[in-house]
Amino acid sequence: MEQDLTKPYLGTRFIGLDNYAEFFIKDSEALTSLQTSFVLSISVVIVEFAFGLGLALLLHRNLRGKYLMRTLLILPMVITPVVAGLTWRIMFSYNYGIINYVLDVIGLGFLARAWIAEFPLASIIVADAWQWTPFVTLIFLAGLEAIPVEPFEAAKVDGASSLQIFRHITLPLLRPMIALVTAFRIMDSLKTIDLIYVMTGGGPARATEIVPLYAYIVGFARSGHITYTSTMGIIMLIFTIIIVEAYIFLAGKEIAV
Amino acid sequence: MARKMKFRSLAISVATYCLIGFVLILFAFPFLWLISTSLKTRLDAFAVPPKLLFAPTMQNYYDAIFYYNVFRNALNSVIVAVFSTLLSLVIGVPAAYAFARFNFRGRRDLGFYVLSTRMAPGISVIVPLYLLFMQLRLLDTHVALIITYLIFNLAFVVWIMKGFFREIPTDVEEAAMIDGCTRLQAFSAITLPLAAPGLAATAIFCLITCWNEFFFALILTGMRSQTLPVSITGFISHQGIHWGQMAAAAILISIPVLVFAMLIQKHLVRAMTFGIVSR
Repeated sequence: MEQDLTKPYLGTRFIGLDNYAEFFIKDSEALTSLQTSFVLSISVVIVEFAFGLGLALLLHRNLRGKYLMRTLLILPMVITPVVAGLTWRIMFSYNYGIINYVLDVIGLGFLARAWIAEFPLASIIVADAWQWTPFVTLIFLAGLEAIPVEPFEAAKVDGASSLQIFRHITLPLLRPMIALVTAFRIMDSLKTIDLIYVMTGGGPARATEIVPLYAYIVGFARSGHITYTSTMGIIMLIFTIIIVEAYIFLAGKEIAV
Repeated sequence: MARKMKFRSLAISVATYCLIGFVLILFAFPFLWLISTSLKTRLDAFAVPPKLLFAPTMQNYYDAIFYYNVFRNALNSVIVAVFSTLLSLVIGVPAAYAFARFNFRGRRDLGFYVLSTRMAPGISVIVPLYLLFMQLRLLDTHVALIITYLIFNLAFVVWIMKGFFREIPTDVEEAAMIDGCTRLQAFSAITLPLAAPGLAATAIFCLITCWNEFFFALILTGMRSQTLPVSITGFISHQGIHWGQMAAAAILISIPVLVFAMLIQKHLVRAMTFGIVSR
């Protein structure tokens, strides 16, 4: 359907699949945003997965003070995403930012720059990783705690190295958690509008414009082409369904419905 | 030999604690920087190099509260969050109970259907909602946001409470029913009080989610019903960014969230994964 809020005199027309054709064939901006979406999601998942798992393994070994650490880890993930975005905007800023200051202090002052303007996507990945790595960590911690100790002891008696134990016992037993974390983080990072909206607004030069943000701009900010917004919504919905189905296929039996 | 081993394990544990400490500082630091920015004057904030020690000022908080009307937006946020949460509990708790106790056809599919409302990207439902609220003349009202938040809150309530209900043994309930209680009485007099901690955690989690939500609020609200996350973006204006006031407002927004999150930290991961991870 075709409808533009800013041009009510045109009314609503049925146009078949024209909007989808527009998205995939004609609109280069749309394809760029699709690419940005996937680059962002995949990098975010890789970074958060690596750090999250590492931190979980680190914390799992140390029983003392674990409670306090858990409490601290909760802070970033419950904070309003808009606030997280603003915080990192301050951290990265040329004049207000601590990062340039630290670089200056350790004698690398020549590296100081306007981080968000020069590395927009990387800045957003850092902010997102800061906010969501704790989530990954806490889930893996829960998973690690649920693993019985016997297989580890048996492996140790048999003389397995800690790397072998990790590869052949820990990772397979964590499989449901791995599926869960990956599915959740891909799904949520595909719709991280708030963080990007306050950090870059999609810029500079659309470098951080993910599909939902582009859809918002097309439908509500720059013009009123809401039917096109809807098209993009459906396309994102299809991707989300694929991810969820893949997750249910991988871990479905373990989810009690 | 034994001493050598002991020394080695001590060294390892010291190293891991240092590493953990470093990582935690990394996670806490942005908060500290936000707080320090909110307490600086415009001059101190612009100082090169940044001042680590400075005379704190409350001026930014004063400005944020009195010139930018944080309280009015906070009131909007509170109204929307509270009503949406209450409604979703009223509707969702009985549904969760049904999921937990009865085995009916299509239960699995229905369960995933309820969950899908949370998984769906906001952008795919915003257009129909927008048009609907426009027709009903509900744009820029609390009602529109309350209804919208109900959508994903319901998914939370049903899934999280389902898990909590399942943990309560059915024996007590059955005993009550044998003694002549109806199922409704058994539910309200026995099961619900037993599930109260879970209920509180679920409610708080819903409140936090509503409080933090940005995307729907951005599109569905205007001057009259703007919530806090949307209003804070107003500090990024054409004349530049009011860093100090913005940081102050950001902290004011965060305080209730942090307090609530501390209250339910035991259940937080469980809530965020809809009860799939249950500790």
